[in-house]
Amino acid sequence: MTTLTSTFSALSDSTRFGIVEHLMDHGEALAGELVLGSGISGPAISRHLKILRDAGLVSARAVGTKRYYSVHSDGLRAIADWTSSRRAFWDSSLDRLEAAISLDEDTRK
Amino acid sequence: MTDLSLEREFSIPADRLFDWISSKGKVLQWFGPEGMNVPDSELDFSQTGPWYAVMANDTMSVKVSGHVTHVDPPRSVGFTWGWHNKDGTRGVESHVTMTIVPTQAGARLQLDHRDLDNSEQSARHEQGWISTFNKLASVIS
Repeated sequence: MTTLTSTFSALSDSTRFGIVEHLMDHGEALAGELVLGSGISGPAISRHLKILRDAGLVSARAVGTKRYYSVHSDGLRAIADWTSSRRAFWDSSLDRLEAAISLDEDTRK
Repeated sequence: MTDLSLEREFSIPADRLFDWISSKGKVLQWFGPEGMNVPDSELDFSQTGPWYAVMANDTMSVKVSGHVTHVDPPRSVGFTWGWHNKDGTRGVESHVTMTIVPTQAGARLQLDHRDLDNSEQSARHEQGWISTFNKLASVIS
């Protein structure tokens, strides 16, 4: 689950979420193309891209000195699996139920 | 899409466990995965009727809704379940049953989540319950 946590953490930033959506909608892009229209500086975009790459959400392809960025399907599949997984939903909910009940038991003592 | 069945043992009596899985204020305390909060809901499983919950974190918000179909204290509750797409349409419907069985140590909760329609097409439909994930589906397929 460590990977999934870093995936969600990477997407919890609206700029990075926007980058992933842009790459999904428009296909691969140069970092410079992501800077245009985003109102965010080149260095900042580079930092965001690095976080997205580390989280397995974006991959880079080098052509000469240029780097083309695109969405990395494995990271996205992990999220799609998680969101469509009833087991993950209910396991996590039941963990919280257990915690809530034991807290309640403690206060009753 | 396969049916899901989960069990948990609790050290409280069946009637108190039933309160936890049915009464409005209690369900809100545990419903939904860690990291998601529930800013808007009608989560009363103690009487039949419609229910819904909006679950959200910093980047996404999803709604699930259904109808409480039976309430049988302190044994079981049942309700239908459907994720909402971002355009407001509701995905394929499934059915959740929570059953409580008294044990020597307290009570066991059994959770079943079954599909009402098992066709392959509906299973695919369910994967796309928010627009972002519709896009994901097209990217990864």
